[in-house]
Amino acid sequence: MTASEILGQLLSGVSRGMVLFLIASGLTLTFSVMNILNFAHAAFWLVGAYVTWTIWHLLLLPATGFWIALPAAALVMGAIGWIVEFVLIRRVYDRPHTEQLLLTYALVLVIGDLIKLTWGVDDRIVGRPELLRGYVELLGAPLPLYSIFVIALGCFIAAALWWMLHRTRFGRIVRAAVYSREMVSALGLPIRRIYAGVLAISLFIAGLAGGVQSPISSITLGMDMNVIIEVFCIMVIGGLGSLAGAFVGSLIVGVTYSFAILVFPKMALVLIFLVTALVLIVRPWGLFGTPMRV
Amino acid sequence: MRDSGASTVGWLVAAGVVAAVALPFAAGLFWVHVFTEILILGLFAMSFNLLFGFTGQLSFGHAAYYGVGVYATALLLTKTSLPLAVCMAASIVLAGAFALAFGFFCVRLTGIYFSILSLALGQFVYYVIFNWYEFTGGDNGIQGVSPPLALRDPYAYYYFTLVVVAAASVLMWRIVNSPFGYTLRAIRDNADRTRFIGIDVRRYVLICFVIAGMFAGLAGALWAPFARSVSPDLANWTQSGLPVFMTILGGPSHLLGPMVGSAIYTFLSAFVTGFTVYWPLTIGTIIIFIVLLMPGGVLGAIDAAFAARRTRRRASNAEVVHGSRGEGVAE
Amino acid sequence: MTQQPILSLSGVSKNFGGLQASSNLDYVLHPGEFSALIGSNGAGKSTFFNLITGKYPIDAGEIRYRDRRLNGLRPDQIARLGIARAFQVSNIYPTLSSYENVRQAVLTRQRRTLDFFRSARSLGRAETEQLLEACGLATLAGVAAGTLSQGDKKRLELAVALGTEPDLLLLDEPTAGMSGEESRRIMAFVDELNRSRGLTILFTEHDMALVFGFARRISVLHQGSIIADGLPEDVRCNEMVQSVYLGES
Repeated sequence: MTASEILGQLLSGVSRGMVLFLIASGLTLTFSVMNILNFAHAAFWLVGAYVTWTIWHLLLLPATGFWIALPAAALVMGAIGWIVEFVLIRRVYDRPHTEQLLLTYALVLVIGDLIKLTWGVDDRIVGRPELLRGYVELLGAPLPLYSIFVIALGCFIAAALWWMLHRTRFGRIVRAAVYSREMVSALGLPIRRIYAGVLAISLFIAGLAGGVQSPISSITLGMDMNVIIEVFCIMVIGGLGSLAGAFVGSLIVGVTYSFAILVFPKMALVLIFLVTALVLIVRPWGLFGTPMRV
Repeated sequence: MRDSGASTVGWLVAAGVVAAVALPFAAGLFWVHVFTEILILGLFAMSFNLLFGFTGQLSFGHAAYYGVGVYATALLLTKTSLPLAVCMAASIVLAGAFALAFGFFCVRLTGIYFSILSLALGQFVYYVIFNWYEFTGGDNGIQGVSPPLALRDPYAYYYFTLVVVAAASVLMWRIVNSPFGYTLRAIRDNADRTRFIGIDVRRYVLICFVIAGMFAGLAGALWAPFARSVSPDLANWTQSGLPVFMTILGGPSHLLGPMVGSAIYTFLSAFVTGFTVYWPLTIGTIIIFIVLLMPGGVLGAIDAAFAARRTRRRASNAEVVHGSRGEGVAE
Repeated sequence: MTQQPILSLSGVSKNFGGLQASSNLDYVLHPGEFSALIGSNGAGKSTFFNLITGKYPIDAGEIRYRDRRLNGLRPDQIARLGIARAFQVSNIYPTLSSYENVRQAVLTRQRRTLDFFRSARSLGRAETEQLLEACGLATLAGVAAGTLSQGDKKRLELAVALGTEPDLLLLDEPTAGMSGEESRRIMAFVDELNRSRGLTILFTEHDMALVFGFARRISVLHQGSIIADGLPEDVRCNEMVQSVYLGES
């Protein structure tokens, strides 16, 4: 393998890792704040991809429509997050983990069929925006601009999340809610609205992730099924509830995958499980494992 | 039976067995098919509940061991001329071996970590089956898995399944009421206390994990010749959700609870798929409503009523009554 | 006494993230002793028990049980050697009945817990019923342990510990949550076990009347170290103990 091939593979791995981070960060946020593991998170990501396609398709602007479709789809997903919290999730906060798992598992089934009803069974793909169709050359390797854009977006969201949690009033309340829900309620803060806000933000980011995925590969029914497993692996590797862990875990999984696929094309995902098992043996609480901390 | 609650359960079981033996005479071919499915999936769910109901650990990767059982029997039946009993024994042993290998890691963890790791490791089996085209047929699956001539008739296969599942249930009943079974309940109730009386907790949970995996393998072995064709989805994590749902539906505190859950689920499925292809949407919606409106499952309420009656009886009864449990699963 | 000690700690230390919970502890217990461990809250009494029973690994020193080194053994291995423990906050099986709680300990002791097929109902019955009777729980045998009163839970805790037929019994605040009369009765029962069976007992207790009324030897823990050790009269008169207790309370 030449240096330029390695560089190319590395970039594609990091870019894939960033999409995974966008998904994992929202899941981590809801898990640590609301203490609910959302099986359906990747299903929402897939809905985000389909919504992006629909908006792009309706705009009739193949070259630039992406720039409108991406934020619009994210906003739509954010609104869906607010509604889902309001209608479903808020009714099960006090229930055992088992029933919460079952509820979000049921959502996976429901969303899968709703996608089939709405968009049919055909594959969809969004045209890459003109601006990002080129390549930059580094060490003789042609690096796709789009991958660089995805990495930049991932880093931007990571930074924005950090800023939101540590530099805004909303973030301070959210972090307080991680430690003690009762305390936040006792202070007269609207805990319910905060939870709804957290799920909305989480799905907003999932929508962005779906949007940036849509020009990378065709959008297919059921593609969320593997992704949710990968994201669980990321959370376990990084430490459940840790955003920094989700970031590092995503990079590990993304890069491992992009190199593994060269060596064992069929067993790339299997390798990710081996990495996960390895981390768990050495550090059962994950790399950044201070559970329940944002 | 030791008290009224238990003898009520005993009568219900007896009634269930009579119904299971007699019903095929009254019902048509379609319903015999449905009954067979109830029994096999019920066994699968009961095997899951050995671990969940008796140690408190929720495995979301239980389909892996079921899938190993399905594929071992399917492959042996199509590629060799071994008798079905040998294929099934191989399924059980192989599923147990996988459960031992994965369980070794899982039992180091508890709670949600246990669930996620069992899920991740379980997916390993799915991906291997899915990708190993030369051996497993990949996503094409395996067709033409036929039972021996004597069992080709759906009625014959139904009774064969009934006997196997009944035998497995009796075996499980003995295990959960044995000193080992009570040790599992002790671990579920208070793992720390159990360590301090001299029990190596991880070892016992691992043994339970392997036993649960072996029964799941047996259920898988029954499925392959019943369905005649198999696909990797039988080992996927969505399949792992099935026993979780059936167990919550039927109640984890009774050994046969998951079987009741299986009956409700499978009847519904048979009924609904008659006029729509959107079965996941239907069952998903039903699950959502059950979780929202009936905490503790459909049988949870009935269970609570029984418990209340039992307590009243006990209070009025000076005789020492032991061996019966108050409630279901501790977190 | 010239016989071999049943328990000996030499130079045992334990840190919790910089906090010295036990420092250079030396302690020897001989078979048949009925000894108390006292000290203010946070003096390290529970840590002392946790180190002996293997809940936490020790940082330095050595713990021996008869001729076995306990360092590095797991709690279940230590329990199997014959050390039983009753916890300060009662630590029982809430959904199992009292009978099943005690039977679990009995069957574990009889090494029957890997019996997969025999019904547990018929096993260990005589031993279990005898223990329940002895601990005054016979009428509560069928009740779910989680619903017992605080005092009954503590008695059940004791019965479970005794079910493992220990040679050394560690009791952490055995009378917490009991009335004065109940406390005296349970201590008298423990005293009787010590006298009739020669069971070695080490206990912690807040109630000084009980400590001085029953223990035949008292050790005083202060900030993770033993500052006094001897007959009750000697400890009562010890100046250091007086200054620690009077100075602090």
